[in-house]
Amino acid sequence: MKTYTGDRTIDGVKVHVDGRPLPDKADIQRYTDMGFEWGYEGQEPRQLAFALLFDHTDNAGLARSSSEAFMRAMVANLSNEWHLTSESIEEFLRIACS
Amino acid sequence: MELQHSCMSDRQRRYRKEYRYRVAGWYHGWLHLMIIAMSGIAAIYIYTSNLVSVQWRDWLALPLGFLSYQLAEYLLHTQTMHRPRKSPMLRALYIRHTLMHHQFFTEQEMRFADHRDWRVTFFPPFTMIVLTLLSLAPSLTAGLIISPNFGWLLMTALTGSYMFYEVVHFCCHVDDNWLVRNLPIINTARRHHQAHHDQALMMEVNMGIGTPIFDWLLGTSDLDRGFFGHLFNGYSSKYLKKNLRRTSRTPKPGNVKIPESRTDAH
Repeated sequence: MKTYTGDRTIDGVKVHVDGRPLPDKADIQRYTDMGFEWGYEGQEPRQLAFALLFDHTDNAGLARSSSEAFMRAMVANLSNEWHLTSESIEEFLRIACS
Repeated sequence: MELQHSCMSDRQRRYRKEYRYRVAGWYHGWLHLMIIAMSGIAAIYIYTSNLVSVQWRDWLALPLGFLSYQLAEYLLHTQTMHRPRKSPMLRALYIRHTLMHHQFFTEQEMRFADHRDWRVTFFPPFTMIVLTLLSLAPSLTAGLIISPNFGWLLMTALTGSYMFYEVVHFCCHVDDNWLVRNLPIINTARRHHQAHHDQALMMEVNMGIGTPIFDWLLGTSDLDRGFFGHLFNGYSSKYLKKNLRRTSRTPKPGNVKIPESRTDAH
């Protein structure tokens, strides 16, 4: 099970997967040039949604098609500092696909 | 230097310590305050010195300037201070605000400890120059089309509104006392702004600082009441909205609601 964390620090926004920086995967799907953000609905949260889904599923098509719903349901609801597991992403996909 | 009695989290305490460590050693809050105050007073003195035989219509520049400033402040706060933008100047605003001001001050601890913390409270001293330059075009245009007095009063209103903002915002980060608790507008701003610093709300709610006018008008307030209720709400929590989105450290997919139409994603 992977663990994803995010924090707003004095040196910038930090998002990690199991302690390593999470790539934004903008080379596969670019919603913004501004990197990640969360706590609202918009392009930066959607880039984060895509990156989280892609990292979890390794499926660009699924990550792309689910990124808006995942952004609205999960990423827009992430607080200043947050913690997600691959289990909760899996649960989202189960609910979204049912 | 840190507040002796505070319920701030360890994370906020660590952040404040790190921020202070990085602030230049020569920084002096009182000097910062004096520069803002003196430049603002001098500017307003110059603008009002040019007034000659003011007509009634010229005075309309004051409410117009004040409301324009409130709208500009609201938009700047909503669209750039809480959203990363490509322009280096706008991105600097986002970093300074979301990644610094909102980490330094949270709903758990809104107070600064001493004048060196004013670095993260006031806008930089050059803001007055930027504001003056931005005010020139509309004021010059109004001065040519309507009257020179209207133009000078518009400049006065915009500069005065910025100084009003700095005073109100400063009052939001001082310790609670009889004066700020009972002064209309100031007490409203303190509660409004503290709710904005709630890290579960800060990206979307209570974006007006000087006044809550545009939060009321555009639906981003945490209150469910009318215009005058918003302006004179004070510390009351009686009219808080019940259906606001509150972010969470670990949102659960089964517990979150997908709002209908609050996205700007395409």
